[in-house]
Amino acid sequence: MIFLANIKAAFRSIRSNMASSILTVLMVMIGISSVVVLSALVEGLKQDITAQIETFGTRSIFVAPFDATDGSPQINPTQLFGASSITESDYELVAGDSDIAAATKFSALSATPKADDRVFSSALLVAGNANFDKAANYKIDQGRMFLTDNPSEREVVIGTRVATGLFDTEQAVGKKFMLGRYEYSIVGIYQKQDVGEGQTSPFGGSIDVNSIIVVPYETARRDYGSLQINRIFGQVTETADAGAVADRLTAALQKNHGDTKDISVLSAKEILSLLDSVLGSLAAASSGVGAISLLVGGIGIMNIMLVAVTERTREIGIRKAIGATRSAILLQFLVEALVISVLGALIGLGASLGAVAAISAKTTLSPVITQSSMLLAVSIGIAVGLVFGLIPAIRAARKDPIEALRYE
Amino acid sequence: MNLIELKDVNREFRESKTNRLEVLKGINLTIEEGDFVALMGPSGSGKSTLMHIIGLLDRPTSGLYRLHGRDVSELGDAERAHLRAQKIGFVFQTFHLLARLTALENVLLPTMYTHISHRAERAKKIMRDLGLNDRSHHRPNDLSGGERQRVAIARALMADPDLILADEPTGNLDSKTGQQIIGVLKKLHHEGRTIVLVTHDQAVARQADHILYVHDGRITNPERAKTKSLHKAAAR
Repeated sequence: MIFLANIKAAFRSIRSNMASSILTVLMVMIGISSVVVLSALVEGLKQDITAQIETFGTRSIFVAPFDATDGSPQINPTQLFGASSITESDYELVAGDSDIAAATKFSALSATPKADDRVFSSALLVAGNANFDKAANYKIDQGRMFLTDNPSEREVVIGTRVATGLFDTEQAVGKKFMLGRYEYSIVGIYQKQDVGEGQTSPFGGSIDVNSIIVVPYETARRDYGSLQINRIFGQVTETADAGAVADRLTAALQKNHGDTKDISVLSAKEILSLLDSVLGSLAAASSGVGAISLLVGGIGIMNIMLVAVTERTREIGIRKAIGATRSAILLQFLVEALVISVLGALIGLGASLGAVAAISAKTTLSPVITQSSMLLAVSIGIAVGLVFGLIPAIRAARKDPIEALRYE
Repeated sequence: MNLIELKDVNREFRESKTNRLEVLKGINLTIEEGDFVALMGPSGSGKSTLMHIIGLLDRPTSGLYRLHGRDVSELGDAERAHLRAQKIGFVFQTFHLLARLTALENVLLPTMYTHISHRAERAKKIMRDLGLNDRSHHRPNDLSGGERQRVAIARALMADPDLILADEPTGNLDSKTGQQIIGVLKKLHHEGRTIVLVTHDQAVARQADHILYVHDGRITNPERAKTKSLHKAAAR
């Protein structure tokens, strides 16, 4: 009852001090919405990447030319290209393992695909084995996989975005295009995947199946000379445990490298947990940004409340004279601070929902507001009101009634 | 029965580390239930401090204060606040209404701090009795001085207190309006309430049953403090 009366009184005094109340609510709103939007972006990123990893399947393993086993995530997009420590004998070791159902080399190439005067410069050009589809778990939608037995034919399998980029149609099987000096013919199209353009893959670089062009490894070696093996992609057999196989192969490959830790094997699951830690730090960093803006909002609340306590000194005296206890005055001003901060939190939450919808619509990012982040926003709002409203409220409660009544 | 009993009440204010200001010096005072007492004295005489102590807004530095026979000199803040809410109604010179609230809301303010049954009906009845029924939804700024003071009196009556403390209630009013307010206080007195009126206006003070003169921190006519009100005796 008292609490309700206080809320009513709080709204009245907020109305009577409209301009600065609006500004303070705005400050809290910005703080809350930055927390919510940033965490929504991180959450969206996480869901995207998780979905992407899941397209590789839980049986997937990856050989990377760096040590990813010490827990420190070294997933660096630039490492997809450049010098690699992976050798032909590493590949043979992996491909020949009894727990591996399929394995392919993965070598990044650089050449720009061209069809007549059309170029598609954002293609990811890769050389791989004939079982690339099985080893990387990419499904062929139209046509077939290329046959390495016949390198002179220069067959390629491409993603749908490459097809539309070069030919304005996804139905591109049988069409030909230039890669550097050589003409290749399209024998297959990978199944379209629902991922945004330009998204960074956890395996280093943007592996977007829709933008991929896979050239037979032997053909690429003949046309482009010696190739770096940047990755090895593989699938474990149905009975094998991907994590255990990855650990065993890591040991075997590092032994193959003379006990140097310049190579490791990751399973999709392990990558997922690595990502969790990367995204965890990202989330922590964004929470830090949000915390700073919330601090600003909190200081705003403290400021407006300190001003209110001074301006309303006489009111405090009157209330005390007619029987308000210290705790009643404390509660009154605390509720007022709470109303401002919770109002800011709710409006901030609404603004975040709008911002997230706009980001989803206008960019390739797909932020996700979870229920827990909404709950967090409101509880932070309450906490900010309580923490920053407390000092002004204590100051109000401690006022001497006689001096307060004399205050002009 | 004695409503208010002060024994050897002193009140000192520390002006600096070495300098103490004695505002009340050994006040002995008894006010019976149903009295109408005026406290008179020049400014700086200590009459306001005396009223603050009686009203539980201030504490004596030393001495005893019994309200309703109960020693209240050592009570904590919360208990004093509860006693103010239930037993004491204040009327001030500058009305002390909250400008943001309507007249009715001002009258209802004490209900935030103590339980008052049928509060809405009670507030309306009190305001009607004070001739304020058509002013309920006006804000203080839209009311005349006399109306504002009547709203303040209505607020003071909300918790049905035994004691009304009026601090220069006519000080900001013209003499005609002031007389109306004194009339209201007299009526409350006839209903059995104890009224303590602080004033420096002789004409106002004379309308109380008796007058206590405060000068330089002392009551100069303490024998009058024990004089039972003839007025009240006649009324009974």
